[in-house]
Amino acid sequence: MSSTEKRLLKEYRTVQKELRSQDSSIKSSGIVQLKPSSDNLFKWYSVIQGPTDTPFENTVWKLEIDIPTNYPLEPPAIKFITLHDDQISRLQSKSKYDLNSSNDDEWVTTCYKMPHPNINFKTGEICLDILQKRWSPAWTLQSSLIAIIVLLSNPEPLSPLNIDMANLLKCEDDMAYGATIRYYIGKSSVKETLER
Amino acid sequence: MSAEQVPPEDPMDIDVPADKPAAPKPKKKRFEVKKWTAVAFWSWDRDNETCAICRNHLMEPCIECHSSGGNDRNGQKIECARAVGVCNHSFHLHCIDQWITKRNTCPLDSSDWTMKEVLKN
Repeated sequence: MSSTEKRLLKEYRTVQKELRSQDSSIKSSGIVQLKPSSDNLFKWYSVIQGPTDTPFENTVWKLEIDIPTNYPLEPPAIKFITLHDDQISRLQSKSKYDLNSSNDDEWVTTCYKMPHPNINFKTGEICLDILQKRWSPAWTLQSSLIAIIVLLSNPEPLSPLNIDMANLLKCEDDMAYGATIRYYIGKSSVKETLER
Repeated sequence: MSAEQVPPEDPMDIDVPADKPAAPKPKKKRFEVKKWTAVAFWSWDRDNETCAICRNHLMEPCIECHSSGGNDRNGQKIECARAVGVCNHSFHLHCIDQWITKRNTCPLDSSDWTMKEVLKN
């Protein structure tokens, strides 16, 4: 077993222990789920919660994480999972959520678009210095995801991947910024239950 | 007034002088210390105890050496030393050697990495 695999198993054990415990810091940081795919330790999936008191609140996003074979010397490639409109409407029509009978605790609102100044709207790629040239092997998958959650509430309009969202912030139009985000959450979200 | 006559209302206030014992010495000792074993713990005086690169404890070998049982292919013992930088952060020598070929910075504070010393465990 390579040292990368061993380090990933170590991170997996830490994360699972924290996610199972009742009042853990990982959940209050906004990480809902973080685990490898069942057949590949180098491909992980995560679900994060939009930070409260931002337009992203009460919604979750899914991310996919590709881990290079020499991790942690190289950073993981993390991106938001985004879908086309027709894929989203197919998921929406298949959703078994029933406004009257469903227990809301089990259901989340998953958004498959991410309008944010530092996130590519089409591909979901994230522009974050610590995931590129300022990466350090002291970061973990967990701390990288927390950095992404912090980026949602602290956008950096001076290095944009989404120029339209950055321009709204540059001209300090917070109302249009929040309204655009809420528009996409309303239009591109699916009511889902999360597998544990 | 002797110590025995002080009303025992507030025992916290009684300050027994060292040369005047409060009670007469019991004739027979109730306990006798037969053996006393002191235990001390030690660790290096460094800022971090875990190697931030491989996440193994610094008192243990790095994640790579750990799996080989601390021996190389010929059964020879591998020395897994710890490296300390001028910033006082320490890592396994094996781990930091790999990282500084990527970028010559301390993984914990991003300052330029300069080796201060190498300690053999």
